[in-house]
Amino acid sequence: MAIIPKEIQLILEITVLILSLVIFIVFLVINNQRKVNSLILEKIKREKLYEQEILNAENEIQDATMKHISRELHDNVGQMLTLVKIQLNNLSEESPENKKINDSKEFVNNVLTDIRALSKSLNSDNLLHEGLEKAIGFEVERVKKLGNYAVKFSANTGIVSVDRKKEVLIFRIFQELLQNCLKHAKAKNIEVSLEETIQCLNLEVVDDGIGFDFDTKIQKNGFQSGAGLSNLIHRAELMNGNLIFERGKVSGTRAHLTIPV
Amino acid sequence: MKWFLIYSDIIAPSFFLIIILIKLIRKENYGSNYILVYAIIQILLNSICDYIDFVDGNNYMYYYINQVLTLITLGFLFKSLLSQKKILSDFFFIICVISSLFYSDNITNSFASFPFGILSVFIIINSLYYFKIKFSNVELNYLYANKSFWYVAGLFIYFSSNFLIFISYNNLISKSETINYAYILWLFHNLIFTLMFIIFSLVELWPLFQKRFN
Repeated sequence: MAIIPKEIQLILEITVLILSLVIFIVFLVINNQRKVNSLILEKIKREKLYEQEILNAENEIQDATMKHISRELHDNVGQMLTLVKIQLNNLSEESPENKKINDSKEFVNNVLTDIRALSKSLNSDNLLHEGLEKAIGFEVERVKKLGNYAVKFSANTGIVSVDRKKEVLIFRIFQELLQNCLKHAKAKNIEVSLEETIQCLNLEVVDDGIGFDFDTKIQKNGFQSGAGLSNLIHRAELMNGNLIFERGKVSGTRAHLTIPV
Repeated sequence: MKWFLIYSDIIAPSFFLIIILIKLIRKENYGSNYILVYAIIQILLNSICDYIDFVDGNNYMYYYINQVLTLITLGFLFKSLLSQKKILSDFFFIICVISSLFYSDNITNSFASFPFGILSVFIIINSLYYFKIKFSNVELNYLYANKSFWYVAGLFIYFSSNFLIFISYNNLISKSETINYAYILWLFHNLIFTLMFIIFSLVELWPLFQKRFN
């Protein structure tokens, strides 16, 4: 067998060395990027967890505050109004013909009914005792009684059971959406639908108000302005769901909440 | 084995071309048009070179043409990949084209070692630059799941490993003591060339494997 010249042997050896080195560099680059990726993913996971904890705490604080206000309204303001009502009844017995006393009696009765309804609406424990559908129905009736809005509500539920914590969050999102329709959208007609499937729960709130562009609201006016909307979306994400806002077919806004069950 | 190594500079890009053609027939996406053009150039010019070599002719000119066309094709590839920093890529590209043109007097007399060396430096610098800009950002980056990354990695492995063979080859085939053994280096070059096209082919086949086993 012929002996290969040293020059060629050397070039061959150096080439093999460079080849090994280059392949090693490529794998080093990949490995390094994988490590960086796993660290970034870990950081994102921690941030998300932290964000969820904050949101959970916020929700718990909000719920506790609402329950406290609800109790105060029911036990304190409600009791005082009841006393006023009793006194007005006594006065009415003494002078049954006094129109002012009778009007005041009726007025106090109305305020008492409204206070009780508001107190119930603020307390998720009482409200959701009979389920999400009833709670939403109660809220819809409360808005209807205001007399300025036509609210339609349709529901198709009972297929699956939704977790209690999720029900509270869904109900609070619904309350916020409804409040937005009344406060900002200047809507006259509102349609609410609640539908359950085996996979998910869909809640839709459609109004005929002035509408808004979600992206512009967040970008143009800064995050502060759209903070309420962002918070709603975060709450939906907390349940692995999503909340989307679209323009209505003619006017207004369509808010669609989907939560997996 | 020797037969395979001699003709692997045609077999490897042809295998890659068949995969791309199948993908085209099945209306599936493939990686890069520039790599496809590069493969076609390699098949055509390496076939001509191997045939001329088979009939004991002079194929230096065709290797020179191969170098020029490769430089242009891969120059455009890096221009598209480094679109944000294309000035640097353009600068090296112009230097390489000028260097190749200066060499054009010798194209029929000797192997284009110098232009191939320049081409290798061009690819190595652009590849390293590509890696630098793509991996310097500390953000979530799945670049290794990207076809472009593996194309650049394949080119980087091929041109950096063969740099020494390219620049010394003309010298080795002009000396009487090494002329009969220089083919060993060329066979080794073909082996690395095959490795590069295996990487390119796997990049195209990988999604099919993923579909099959998922």
